[in-house]
Amino acid sequence: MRILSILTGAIFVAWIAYGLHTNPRWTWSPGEGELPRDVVALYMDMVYEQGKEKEAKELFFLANTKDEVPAERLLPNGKTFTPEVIRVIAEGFNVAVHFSAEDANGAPVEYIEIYHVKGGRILSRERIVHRTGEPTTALSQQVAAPTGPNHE
Amino acid sequence: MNVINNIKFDMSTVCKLILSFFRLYLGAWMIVSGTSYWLHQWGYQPIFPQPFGSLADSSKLLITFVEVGLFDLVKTLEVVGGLMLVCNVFVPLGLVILFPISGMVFFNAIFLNQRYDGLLSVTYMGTATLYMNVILLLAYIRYYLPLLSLNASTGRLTDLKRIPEIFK
Repeated sequence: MRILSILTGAIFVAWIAYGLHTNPRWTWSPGEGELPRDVVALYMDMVYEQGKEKEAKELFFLANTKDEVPAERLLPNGKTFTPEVIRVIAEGFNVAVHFSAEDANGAPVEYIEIYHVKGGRILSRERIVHRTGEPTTALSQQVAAPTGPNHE
Repeated sequence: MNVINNIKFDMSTVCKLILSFFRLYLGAWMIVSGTSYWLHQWGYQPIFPQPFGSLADSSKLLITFVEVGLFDLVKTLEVVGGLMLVCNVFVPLGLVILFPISGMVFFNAIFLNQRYDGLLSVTYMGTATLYMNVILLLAYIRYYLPLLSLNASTGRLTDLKRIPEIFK
């Protein structure tokens, strides 16, 4: 009787596993099933360190993703860089990454990027810039807003 | 063939078949759920990508579970409890192990993801796991009755000698 139970159970396992594996709700994108902070880490690595902006956009963004960072300002000094992560704050779907990098003039600039991640995809991203020596109120300046020639 | 012909399909047999179905289905579902998580943790393709909720509170709960390491325990217990049910060994213990997990799955589905449509659904596993778990706990209630003693007293060390009785 126990063997019959195990055999029937094995059939059930295969049936349930097949049903879940082939469920059309999954997109099987690289971020799906990953923690939002890991999705952001994968994205940042692909864009900032490898410079694969187009591929990253296809893999991690949706058509209706709200991105506050213009493509031409994505890389602060125009080339790939390794962000020096100061801290990561994650709660639920929201991930804020505070990192520093050098701008086009070689000056260190701190960035806070706030991502909203759901289902392994980035639904929105905004970037806040803080330049060393400037008052902290500069934190409210988003990169998308026009800035002076010495700014990003 | 004679064995099948000798089975009397009375109410009791039908109930036993339904309960066996619940035991095997609940066990199998838990095994798949737990195994998928561990496959991903070990670097293999999971059976299905782990969902982290549709609404904010659900995602907070599930992500926190993962980040503090509680999900590892939950998914291990899913596999252990599921195997107990499928292999038909220590079933009362397996049901007790799985009960808090089924309860959390229900809480997450109904209260955090607001899937109220699933309350009366027999195919939505967010609620069906708890329903099956509770029905099975009731079916095995004779094993839990000693736990429910109103006037319980401590035993003696010699009670440990009775442990082999669990394998009977």
